[in-house]
Amino acid sequence: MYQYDSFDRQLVSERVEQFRDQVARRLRGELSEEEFLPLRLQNGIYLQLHAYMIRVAIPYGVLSSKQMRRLAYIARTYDKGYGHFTTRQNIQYNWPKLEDLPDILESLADVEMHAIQTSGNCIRNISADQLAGVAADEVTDPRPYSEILRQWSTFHPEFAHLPRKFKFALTGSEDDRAAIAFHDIGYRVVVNDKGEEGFQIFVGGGMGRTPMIAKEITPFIHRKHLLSYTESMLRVYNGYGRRDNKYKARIKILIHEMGIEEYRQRVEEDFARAKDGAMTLDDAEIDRMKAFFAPPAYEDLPATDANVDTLVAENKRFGQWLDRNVEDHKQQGYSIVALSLKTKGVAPGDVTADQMDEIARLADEYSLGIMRTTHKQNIVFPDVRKKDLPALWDELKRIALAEPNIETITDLICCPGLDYCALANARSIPVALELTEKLDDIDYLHDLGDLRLNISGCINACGHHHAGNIGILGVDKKGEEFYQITLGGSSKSDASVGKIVGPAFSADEIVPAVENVLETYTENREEEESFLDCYRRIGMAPFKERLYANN
Amino acid sequence: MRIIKGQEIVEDQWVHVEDEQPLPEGDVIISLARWQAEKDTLIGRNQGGLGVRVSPDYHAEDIADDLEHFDVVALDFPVFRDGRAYSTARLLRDRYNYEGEIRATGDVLRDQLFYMFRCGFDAFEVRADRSIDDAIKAFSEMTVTYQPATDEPLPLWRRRA
Amino acid sequence: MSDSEQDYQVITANRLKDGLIVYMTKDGGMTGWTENIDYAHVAGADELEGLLATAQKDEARNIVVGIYPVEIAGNKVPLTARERIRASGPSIRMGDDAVPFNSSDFSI
Repeated sequence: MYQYDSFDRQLVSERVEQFRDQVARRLRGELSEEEFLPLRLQNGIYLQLHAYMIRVAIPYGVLSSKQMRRLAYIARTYDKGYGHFTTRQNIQYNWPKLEDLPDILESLADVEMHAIQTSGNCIRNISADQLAGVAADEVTDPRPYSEILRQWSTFHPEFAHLPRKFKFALTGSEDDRAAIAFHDIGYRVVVNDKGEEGFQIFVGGGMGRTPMIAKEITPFIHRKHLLSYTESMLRVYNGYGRRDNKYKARIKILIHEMGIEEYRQRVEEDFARAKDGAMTLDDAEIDRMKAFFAPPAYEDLPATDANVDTLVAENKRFGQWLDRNVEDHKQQGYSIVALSLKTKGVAPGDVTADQMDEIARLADEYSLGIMRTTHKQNIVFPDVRKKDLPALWDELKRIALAEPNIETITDLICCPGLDYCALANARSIPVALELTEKLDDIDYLHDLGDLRLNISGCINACGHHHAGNIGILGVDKKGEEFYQITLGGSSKSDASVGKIVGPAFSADEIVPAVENVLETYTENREEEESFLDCYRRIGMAPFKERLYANN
Repeated sequence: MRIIKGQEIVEDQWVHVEDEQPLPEGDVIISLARWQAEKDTLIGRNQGGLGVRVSPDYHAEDIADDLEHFDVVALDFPVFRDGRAYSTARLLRDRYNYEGEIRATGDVLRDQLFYMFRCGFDAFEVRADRSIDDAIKAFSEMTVTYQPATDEPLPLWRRRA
Repeated sequence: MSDSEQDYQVITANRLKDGLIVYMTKDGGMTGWTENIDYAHVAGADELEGLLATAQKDEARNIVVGIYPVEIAGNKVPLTARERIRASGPSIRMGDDAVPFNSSDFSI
């Protein structure tokens, strides 16, 4: 992974001292809340429903065991002993005190971490495919470019006060695991027919109250132009994005109103002038970055392991875990293991300090000390020897992180909702917990197969409900919580936005309603047909009929 | 009035003149609208320097043709969150090679000054109710910059070695 | 006596230094802030404006941020789901209370 040098260290520690001073000025009353707000936001600090919240950046989801231990330390020392992994591959703490936050940031800086630009109207933490570098289907590892973009965007002076927040995602695979179509800018690393590396770039995707699928701005731009082209894209948005209405300020609205052709033309005009300048990436810099992410020294291992095969035969649950939580690695004899943070009774994405320490220990023992966070709020061990799978499974069971449910309906994405969030209209975690409680028959989950259910507590869509095969959206009706159901969303390469089925359900009705949706699917599916394929074939009507049969 | 110029606090010699007021002798900053209306007479004026005050609704290309007549371009921040002028300043410097003063006016606060400086601003009218002596500290808080901007032609990766 | 919504209100905010939710108290002429809604001062419609003005002074003195009145029922239970959750905390188990294993079982 990327290692800080003296410049990176100095930048982060200067930032800590700058923020320490800003907090002191706020507490002394020299800064008003209005003035302090953007400063704390650009350090990832919100004032939420019950307390302050800090969102710590985990750039493109790569985390070392040393960093994970520090996250555990912070959870114990400054918070209530747990943290929450988010859909931007970050971690949030829900209870820090303002007066402790400079110390928290200093502690993070010590392990090359920060909370810079995890909030505010700036370029946010960059997300990427959690299987970067190890996925069997990968064309090019997107992490070196993610790091290049991270550095370029960090404290970019021109783009610190954009019309609205701005999110990048990168993938280097055909199979999109980073939801690039739902980002302000989505990059796919591609290789053209001359063998040159470059980017297919999409712009103007997003969730929120106006969900949109990103549009292609260029099928190929040479890798050397990554920064200059990106800067031109941001400059046009900074100059022309709407600032009169917060809900129309994202770049997706600009693209929608201006049209992708006009936007592309303005970007190309700016780029034509900036092109080949100092920001042009040379091979030396790209190679320097690639070296940080070079594959580790893998052992020469057989493709299969007898002990694994024996255990599969003996233990059905282990087989189910292999089936759902373990993926093929590009290196023979290795596997990619997902730790499910969707355990019965636990808020999706929440991890206790004790679990964090255990995860760090297991990463050291079984995954070369490195792990990834995922935008689906799980953790991945990227480099596990196949022969270690039985032992790792035992360990993960013990700390309640071996639920064999990855990409099943209970591997749901869920925002903090009204239990924590100042913007929420309804609670989302209790809905997730009730669903997980009801759907605890593993055989049934596996029979349902791949099924993405996402829950957002309000229209801001932090829980990605638009991209759920089944989406649940919390709404407020006269101070009470109600829930809408959407169907047909997907964030994969066949990205689509879910459609609302009909009137909202009360808190008591929502889980039975989801069960009705599932029954409609199992009654209508053909053979191995997935929920999404079935929905796309039979349409909304059968679901709607079942859901509103009594009205 | 005291302003920050060249990262020092100085007494300002420039006078902001409202549209209805007659122009006094000396260095004046007028609105872009007035410049556009009275351009012909203003070009001949020789009693002092001329500056123009530009709202962020106008972009660099809107004033590019007239830059030779301006000693000061004052880019206004109606509210500090409105970041359009950062791009305007960069384009004035880097694309249109404007070498006169670029001044930040309006909601100009300490914590924005360093970014403004990096984008090519070189004069700052700190908001009247804020301490200018405090604001000037903004230039010494951060010393590392990753990306090129108007103040620094090279990205850090070309300077690391 | 009617229990109409306007009859009972408490004033709430977040405390600046730790962000926690607080409610305004009043004892004689003295006002203050408590984390427990049970000790909040219930304001009638006639005194609300004056109390909000007092609260705003505390905001100006950087003690609290984000002041607003909350409608409550007679038993100090807020009328909206949002305010009920603010008053009683997250409705779910958190941290070690939620995870189905005992950390003392670890033999690290």
